[in-house]
Amino acid sequence: MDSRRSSPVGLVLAGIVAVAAVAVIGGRLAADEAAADRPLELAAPYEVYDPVSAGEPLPAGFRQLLGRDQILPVYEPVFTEASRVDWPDDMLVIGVAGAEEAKAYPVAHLNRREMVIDSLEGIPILVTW
Amino acid sequence: MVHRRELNGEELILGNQGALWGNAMTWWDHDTGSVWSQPIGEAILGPRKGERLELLPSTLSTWQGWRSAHPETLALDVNGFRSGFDLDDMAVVADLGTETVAYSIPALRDVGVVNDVIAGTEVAVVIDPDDPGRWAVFSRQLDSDVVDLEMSVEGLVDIATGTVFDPFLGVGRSGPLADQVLDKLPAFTSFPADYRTFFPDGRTWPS
Repeated sequence: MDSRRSSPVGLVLAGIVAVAAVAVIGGRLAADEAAADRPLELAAPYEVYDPVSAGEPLPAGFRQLLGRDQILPVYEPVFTEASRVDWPDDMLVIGVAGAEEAKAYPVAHLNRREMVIDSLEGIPILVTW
Repeated sequence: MVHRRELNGEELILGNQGALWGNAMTWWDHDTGSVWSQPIGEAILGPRKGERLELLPSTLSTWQGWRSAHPETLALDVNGFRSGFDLDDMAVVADLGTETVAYSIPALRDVGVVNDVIAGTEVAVVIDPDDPGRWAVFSRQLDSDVVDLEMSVEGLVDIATGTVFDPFLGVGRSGPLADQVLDKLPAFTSFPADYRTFFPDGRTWPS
């Protein structure tokens, strides 16, 4: 969830979107999360050029299976201290570290969301699984 | 995998294209709509076709292994999940641009460390035989010397000088070269079939 969204109007809007998604899609958790998590300031996928629908020649083996962002990336990740999570010791994480900062992303969560748009020490990074 | 989402100084926002190429995921960038392939980090369709994002060092580790190496780590805020992945089915892939090598994880566990040369760079691939989620690929080139490394109970040891390095952070702990640090190189874990698809000319170890 987006911890920076703090205005009551924003919260209400997010709630309406989430409820609408549940109503339409029948309560699928991923869809619910997707509607609530989608940062409102980002471009909608259909507003941006798509080489596939534009008919560009596709490389062999290219298969368009879902719509853009149907599996929603984590566009605005929120982090917590290591001491505040109770993850099992043997749980797999992808870790990144700079000189000052280190971050861990559970593989099981990446299995569901596939992409995290993040930064490390001011460097924009993309974490994928 | 972790990529730097920056091209010529410009930050890119990337989303999920919802398409597979070579059975791997693809991304779209929010300003041009170009479609990118994850394993090679390269745009394969659209205005940015042929452009490439830099692959950054990252580690696939158990939570315990990562936390002990980086006690101050932040944790992505999610509800609890578990993974049922078997690392012994995978390889550590070191990608140095002009040459790529896949190191079988079970074979790495037998030896602990492999001294190798990739694309002219002296490297060491290191794994914890008891916790294969802990591995790293380092440059063996220090300020003036190239070191040959072996695993011992104390850590990663330079055979010539006896200097001991932390096996996963690369930091010198004791010995004549203790003030030096082994540089970490870009690498990731992959299933062998995916590696053959995306790096058909890539080398494998053991060969």
